[in-house]
Amino acid sequence: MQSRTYTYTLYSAFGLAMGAVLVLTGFADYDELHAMLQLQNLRLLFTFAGGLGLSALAFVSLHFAGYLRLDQKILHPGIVPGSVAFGFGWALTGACPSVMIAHLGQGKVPAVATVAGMVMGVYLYRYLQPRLLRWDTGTCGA
Amino acid sequence: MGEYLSWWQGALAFGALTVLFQLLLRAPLGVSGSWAKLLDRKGEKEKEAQREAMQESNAFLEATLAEFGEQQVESAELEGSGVSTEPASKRPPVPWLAHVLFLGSIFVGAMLTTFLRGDLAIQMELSALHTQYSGGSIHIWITLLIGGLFVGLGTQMAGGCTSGHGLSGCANMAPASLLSTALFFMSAVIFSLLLEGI
Repeated sequence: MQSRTYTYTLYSAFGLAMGAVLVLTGFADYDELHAMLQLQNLRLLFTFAGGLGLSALAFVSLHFAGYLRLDQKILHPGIVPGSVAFGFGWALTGACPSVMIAHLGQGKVPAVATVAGMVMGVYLYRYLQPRLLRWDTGTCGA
Repeated sequence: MGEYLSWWQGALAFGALTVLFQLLLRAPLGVSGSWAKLLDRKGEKEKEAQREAMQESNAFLEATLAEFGEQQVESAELEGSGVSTEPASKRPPVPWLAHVLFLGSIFVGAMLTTFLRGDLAIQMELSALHTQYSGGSIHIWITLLIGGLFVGLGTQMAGGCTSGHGLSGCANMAPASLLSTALFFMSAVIFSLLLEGI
């Protein structure tokens, strides 16, 4: 059983590391991300794909060694429209949910608008989901 | 602006983050999930209370089983009592404050790193290029608000983002995450190219 101190310390440490890595890799730089999305400079794509590949290798190895149970999100109807919508927002803002926070940390004041939009989007989804989008996202009670 | 990490250095960094997060916290790294929980304090508090009640019930059940034996307990009426005979979830519960600290620390980490690189400054734009694409220094606020709305709506609808689906989900080889990652990357590229053309 994790103590609260342990949990709070580690979540904070990982947040700091995440913020640092987003800046150091250039994910928090709109021009760099734009160059990737324009397929002009694929460095960020290789960074991401490399990170994904290394993580997958580690997880699968740990799984077969008996140290990790693979935890798989379920396939549900929201994945397709949600991912397409997210991609659109990413192209417009140069930000995903972590990068917009990094933008604020870098002193980019307009990122306040990105964050405001994000918050609105979360609440909009919560409004729509039980009314129009009745599918199980597998997160009930999680 | 300075130099950025090479692709393999960045890959190692993201890989380490994803794997260590899972191993040390026994939870998948996922920023949009943290956002959702940040914005649902009431719901999270309710879940914490439910988990505590469940743990209490489980403790009573264990003590009862130890005292009276399994057969006796099974014949008793448990239906509708709210007592679970299933083991409690193996994933440790994450307090709401942990999500707040996580997201807040991303801010601090980015700020510190930017400061150490000598780039920290109050700026009224993301970049000159972004301002140009948005159509001016007033328009950037609208573009970012609308874009942010789609990021929020989209990530909640998809159930994950670049870290949740892209890193953790794909690392777990979840078909849902592999699909989502491919789709949001393709979508971002296509929309970026289309917007460039406008």
